[in-house]
Amino acid sequence: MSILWQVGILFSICLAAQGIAALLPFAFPASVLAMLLVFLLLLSGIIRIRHIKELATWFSQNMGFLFVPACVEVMDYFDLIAENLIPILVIGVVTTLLVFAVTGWTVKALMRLQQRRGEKLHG
Amino acid sequence: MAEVLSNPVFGIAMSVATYAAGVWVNKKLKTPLANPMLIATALLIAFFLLTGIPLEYFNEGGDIINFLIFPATASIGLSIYANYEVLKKNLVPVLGGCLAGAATAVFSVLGLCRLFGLDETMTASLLPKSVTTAIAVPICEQNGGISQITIVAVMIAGTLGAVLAPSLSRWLHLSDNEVATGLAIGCSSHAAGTSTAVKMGETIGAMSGLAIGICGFFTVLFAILFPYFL
Repeated sequence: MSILWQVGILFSICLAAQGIAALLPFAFPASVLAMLLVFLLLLSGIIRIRHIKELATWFSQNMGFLFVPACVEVMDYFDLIAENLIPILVIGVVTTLLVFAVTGWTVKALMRLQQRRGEKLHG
Repeated sequence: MAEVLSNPVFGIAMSVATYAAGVWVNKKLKTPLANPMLIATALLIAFFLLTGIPLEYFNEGGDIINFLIFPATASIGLSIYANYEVLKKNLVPVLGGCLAGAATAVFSVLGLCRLFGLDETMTASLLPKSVTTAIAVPICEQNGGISQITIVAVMIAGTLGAVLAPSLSRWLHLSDNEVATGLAIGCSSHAAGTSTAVKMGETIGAMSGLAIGICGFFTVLFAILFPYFL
C-alpha cells in the first residue's frame, strides 16, 4: 500500500487513541493505547500487515533517531543529574539486574510448572 | 544567521547528520556501548556547548522529530502482532514473566528512591526506567517527572542489558532456556537489550521484542497507581 495511505491509517489510529485516552477516567498514555489498538486491529483482521508495514517498520528501525532531540535536552539538566548522580547510577544498575533475574527465574518456574502439568495430563 | 538557524530544517538536518555518524561509528566498533543515539547526542551537546548557538533554534526541528515518537510507539503494536504465534505458544510464561518483571522494576525503584530520600519529581522520573523510552517518557510526564532524567535512567538500563545480557544469562543459569533469557533481556533493558538478544538467537530475539511492548503495557497499568505511591 502507498506510503500516503499508510500514514493515513497509522495516524488515524493514533487520533482514535488520543480520543479514547481523553475519555478514560485515569491517566493512560495515548501512544501506548495506540500500540494496543494497532495490535488488536491486526488481530481482528480489520487492518492487515500490508496496510502499515513499510511505515511501521521504518519507525521501529529508527526509534533511536527519533529520541535524539529529546536526549540533547539532557544538557539543560546537567546540574540536577550531577546532584543525584549516585542514586541514579545505583538505581539504574541494581534494579536492572534485579528485573533480569526475577523475570528469568519466574519464566523458568512457570514453564517447569506447565511441563509438569502437561506430563500429568498426558502421562 | 538567526533566520537560517531558526528554521526547523536546521534541527532535523543536524539530528540526521549526527545520527548517521553514530550509525557509522557503531558499525566500525561493533559494541553496544557505541549506541548511535548516544553518539548523536554527545556530538550535538558538544556542538551547542562549543558554538553557543541557543538550543531553541535546534528545538524548532527537534519538536517535529519529537512528535513522530507517538506514531512510532503505535508501530510497536505491529511487532507484537508479528510475534503473535510465539506469544500464543508461550502465553503463560510471557504474561507471567512480564508481569513479574514490571512489578519488580516499579517496586525496586520505588524502594531505592525512598532509601535515597529522593523527592517526588525524581521518583516520578525514575519509576518507569525499565521500559522503552517511548513508553517511559509519557509515564514520567503524567506523574510530574522530568523526561530527561527518565531518558538517562532508561539509557543506563538499556546499555547495561545490551552489554551484560549474554553473561547474565549464564550466571543466572538461564542459558538453557531461550524463552526465559529473551524475556529477561526485554523486561530489564527494552529495545537496546533486544539488539543484543537478536544476535543471541531467533527465539531470544523474538521474546525480548515481545517483552518491550507487553512489559511496557503492564508498567503503564502500574503507573495508574503511581500517584498513590508518590
